Amino acid sequence: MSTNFDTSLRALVATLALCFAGGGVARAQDAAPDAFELGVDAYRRGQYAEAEAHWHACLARPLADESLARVTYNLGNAAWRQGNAFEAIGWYTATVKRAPRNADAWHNLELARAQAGLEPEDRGDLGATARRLVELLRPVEARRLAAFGLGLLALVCLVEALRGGRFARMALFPAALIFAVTSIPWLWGLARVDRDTLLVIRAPSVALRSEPRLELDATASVDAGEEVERIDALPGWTRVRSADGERGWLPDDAVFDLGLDSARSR
Amino acid sequence: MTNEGRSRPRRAGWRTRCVACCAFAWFLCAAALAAQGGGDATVKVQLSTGVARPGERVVLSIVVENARAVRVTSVPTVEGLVIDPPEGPSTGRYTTIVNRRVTERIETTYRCAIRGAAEGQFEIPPFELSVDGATVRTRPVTLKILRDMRGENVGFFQITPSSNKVVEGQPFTLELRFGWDRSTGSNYADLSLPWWGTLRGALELDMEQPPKESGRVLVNGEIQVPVEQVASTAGSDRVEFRMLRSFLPTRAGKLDFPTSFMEFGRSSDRGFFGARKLSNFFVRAEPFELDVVPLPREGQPYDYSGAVGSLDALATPDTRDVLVGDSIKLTVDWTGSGNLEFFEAPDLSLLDAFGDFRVYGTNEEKSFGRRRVVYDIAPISADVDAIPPVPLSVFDLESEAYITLETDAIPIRVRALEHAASLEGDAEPGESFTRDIVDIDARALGRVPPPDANAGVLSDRMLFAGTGFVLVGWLVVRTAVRRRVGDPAGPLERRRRRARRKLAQRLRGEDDPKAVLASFTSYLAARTREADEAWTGRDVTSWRREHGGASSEATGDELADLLARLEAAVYGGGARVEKDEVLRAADRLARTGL
Repeated sequence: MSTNFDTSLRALVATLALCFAGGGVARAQDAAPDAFELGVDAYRRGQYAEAEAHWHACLARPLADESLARVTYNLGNAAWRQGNAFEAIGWYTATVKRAPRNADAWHNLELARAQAGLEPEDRGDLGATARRLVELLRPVEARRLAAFGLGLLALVCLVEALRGGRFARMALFPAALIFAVTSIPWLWGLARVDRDTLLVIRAPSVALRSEPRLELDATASVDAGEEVERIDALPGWTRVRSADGERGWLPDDAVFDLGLDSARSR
Repeated sequence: MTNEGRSRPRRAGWRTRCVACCAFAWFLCAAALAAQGGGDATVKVQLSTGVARPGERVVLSIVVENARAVRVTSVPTVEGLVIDPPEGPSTGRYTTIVNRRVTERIETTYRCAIRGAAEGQFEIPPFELSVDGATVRTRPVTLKILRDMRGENVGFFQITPSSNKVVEGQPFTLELRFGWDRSTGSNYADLSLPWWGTLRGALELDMEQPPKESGRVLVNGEIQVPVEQVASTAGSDRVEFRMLRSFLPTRAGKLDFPTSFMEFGRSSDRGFFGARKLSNFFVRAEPFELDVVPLPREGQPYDYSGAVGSLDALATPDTRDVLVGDSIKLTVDWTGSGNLEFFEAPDLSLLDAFGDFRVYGTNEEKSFGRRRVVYDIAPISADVDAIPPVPLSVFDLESEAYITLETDAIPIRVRALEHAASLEGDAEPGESFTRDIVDIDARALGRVPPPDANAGVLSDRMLFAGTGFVLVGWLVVRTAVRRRVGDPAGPLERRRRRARRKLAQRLRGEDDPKAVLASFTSYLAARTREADEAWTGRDVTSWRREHGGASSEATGDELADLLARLEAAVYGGGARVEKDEVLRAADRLARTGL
């Protein structure tokens, strides 16, 4: 009897502790909009550096993808107003990765890239259009779309298994095709989930070195606006792999962390 | 005994065949050796004639005997003679058998056409040949070219360039005039023009067909070219023809036109073996050179179009009264003597004068003596009152200087659209706009979802597992169903699935107890995958014993009772069974696994 009572008491205490802890987290999270609004006020007053500091503070807190995209978008505007075009490009790129259908972010990104003398992010050719289509959905949406395709396939499979017949067998192929097509955005995102992507923001290009030492000759170079993958890091230096497969070290201040891995986890 | 008697003739026949084969092989070897030892290679050279007239075709034949690999490695050149590259080889094999001795001879022949370009006696130096790997020279031969006095008396041939000096890019025309006295009765003419198709540094331009084609002449024995007969003056006894060829020099230097010849005369009608020349004469045209000088760099404008010549320009709009934004097709024609096909037409969108116009595109037409460009332009302001002149930078041959050839300005009326903005928008005059970023997103941030809220609902792992589950589940269910009942789409299974619906349909219009009984037994037969007759008079108790798993005992009793009552209603005068009761019983049976 006493044992049962002790167990119940411990469970009650644990539950209360969890509730308090949860409340604490909630209060901390509620603070995020305040910093955001402070940033908006500073921006409206033309204090772009101050606005940037407030929004940076927002980034330190857990935020949903949509909210995070709004903060990075505003940070892009603050960087742009301070004349940091390449940093703005980095923020806008991070925004469109998190919120691919944000038309304002796309507008600002293309404008910033054009002003910086870079190629448009969406070149409008077949490859770029296909890629933009595939990346149109956020990870959660992509999963839902794939689940829809899978549900349809399951339904057709069930009908075929129970009732058989030519029609059901013929329906299997389009159902599988629909599932394959609806899975593309999900699988595409899945293939890129582990990539720690950086954006080169030093114009016109930055040299890659075989070791993190400035006195060494460059082994290759990556152009500004190009996305590279981080494979190692040391204080002040980052080792990256370029789209061409070239690997090398470059200074930290030459790249912008798009933070896609953290965005994906949300 | 019998076997030996049979084997002897067979062996004798086999020996005969062996001897015959050996003899044939010996004969072949002997023939081959005879052919091999036919002798050393010999080279002969001969001319079709030793005396010829200027322009007349003389054929030099080089015949090599008893050689397997022959190649002409060097063709000599003789001033005053035009020696074409050798044609061939043609090979002939000749076999002779004299006194059982087989001799084979191989002849390889090259033929080379030679034309005399000047009078005199010419020695043609040896040709160099490679014969079976060895270098062999022919003997020199002599050809005498005598002037065709009669041909020059009765015929003429002149080639006149439009100018002896042209500028790079300036087209020039060659006029070829030729003819003969009527008294010769000539009915054909062949021109030998060594420069035809081989002029380096000049492109031949397409020519218009002569206005009245009077005949065709054969040029270089290859192509028929139309010519125009020049109207002869009254009382003239000459027949005269004319042909024009135009060229565009592409680089500075000299263009050589060596001696050209014309063969004319009378030929018979074309018969089975072709036409036969009854009489022929030769006449030549003197060689000449043409200087091509480069375009002067001094004073060349930046927008020089590459046009050279004496050109005229004319612009014509398709309409002169338009609304703002309406399309105007402006046709600009450049005509005259010049490289009309080769200059770059002006791009109106780059001209400041056309700043009040939007240029949608151009359409070009190139034809002999004319270059036409149709511009699709639209005025973007009601203030426009004229289409500006279209300029073209040209190197003028008369003044030998660069000039700007302009069309005339064309007055037009442009009316403003009512209640509409101009193509430039509502901007105030002088006001300019720049692109700028879209403003910040100032909406307050929403509440934070619990960590991994979205991912928890539908994670990647769940999707992968779901995909596997669907595929495996499909295979399992499919296999299980087919093992239990066979093909679910088979006729028996489909009949079984439709049995309840069909029973309801049949009972709906029937009151006759016999029909109700038949419908019910048909239903039972469909559910048990049997023929309809299987349930007529069946002992339900023994059937249930045999198929124990098919239905419960209570249901079996109910079925037996129902069947008994239905049969009693039909055959024993019992009470009729309600149709609803039959349907309820059918449902219960189906639920218990019938």
